[in-house]
Amino acid sequence: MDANTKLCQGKDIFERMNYLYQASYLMALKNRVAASYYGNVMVGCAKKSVLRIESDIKRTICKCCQSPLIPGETARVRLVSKPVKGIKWTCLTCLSIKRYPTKKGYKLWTEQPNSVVQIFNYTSKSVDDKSVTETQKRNLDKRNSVNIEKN
Amino acid sequence: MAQTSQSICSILPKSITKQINTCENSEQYITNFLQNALPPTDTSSIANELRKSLILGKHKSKWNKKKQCKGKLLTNRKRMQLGLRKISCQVNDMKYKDLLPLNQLWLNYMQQVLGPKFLDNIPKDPTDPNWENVNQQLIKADFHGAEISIVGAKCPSLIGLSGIVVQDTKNIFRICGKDNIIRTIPKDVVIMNMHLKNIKLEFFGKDLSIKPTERTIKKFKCGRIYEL
Ligand SMILES: [Zn+2]
Repeated sequence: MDANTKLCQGKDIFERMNYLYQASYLMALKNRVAASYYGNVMVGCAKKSVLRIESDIKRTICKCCQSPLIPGETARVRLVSKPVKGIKWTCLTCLSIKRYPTKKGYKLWTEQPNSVVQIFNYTSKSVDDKSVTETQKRNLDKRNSVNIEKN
Repeated sequence: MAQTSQSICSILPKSITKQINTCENSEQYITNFLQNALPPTDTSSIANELRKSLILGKHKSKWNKKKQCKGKLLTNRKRMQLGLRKISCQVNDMKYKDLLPLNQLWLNYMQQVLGPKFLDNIPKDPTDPNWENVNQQLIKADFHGAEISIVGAKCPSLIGLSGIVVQDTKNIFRICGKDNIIRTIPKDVVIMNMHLKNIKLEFFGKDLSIKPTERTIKKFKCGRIYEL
């Protein structure tokens, strides 16, 4: 409506994914089917509109069944040393395993400083009534910057 | 009499079940039993009949096996096997009370999507300059967690149902009513009311008959009226 909203490409879809992510976490302990379904819709949205999810967020949902991974509740987290030192996440819904290395100095490309070319600031002037949305918003900005850099 | 009918369903006391022991070599017992019970003309074929193997008896069904998934996106069939396709009431015992925070979250989300000014100037008829814009935004929004009620339908029994949307697929809405029952509503035969705080938005269900993920990029055509 105002000039700010037009600039941010895919803002409505980011907002939708943000909502689905929060809804998924809200339903995680009450109904795992619903949580998985919302996660699935969220990933589907990202795929359809070719928007990338930030890797920190991507790691908190199961790659396989898209249900949110909460340590001790829906996921088993163990430190492993055998193939390479790392963290092993086991989803308790579908029993799939993800391993993340914990090597010293290992950084994802998006965490490296030279991956960011330009940072857009889309923070709205209106005050959000929830702190959750605030933090998510920041994540969106981060996602966006990464996204634009890759193109 | 009443007492005996009650005790039919209860478990037998330990003192009786202790004495019962299952027959150890059951095959032997069955052949003996058959030899005694069957007429003498059939007794010769007992051994042959028992040797027959039932093909389907040994075949274990793949569907219920809980196997480790490879780190890939599940296909829809796999999701069905794990029971992740259908949100149902019987298994998970969904409560209306649990869905209220979801509804609250949805209201916040809608407010964010439509902008803070939306509540003050709602476009009331198609001549409004904002009409097209708002429609476009609404069609792209997510409806999980929305509170809807049905005002018109081809099927009269659907009219008057209301609840919070828990699942939104291409052709159906699954809503959870206040009585904790999950109902399935076909989209293309109903007119729905969506409750946004104190605003009612009325729309055709047929407009939403697209996959929720595909609706993000879909363009909405205005002014279609469907026959109901
Ligand atoms: Zn999983």
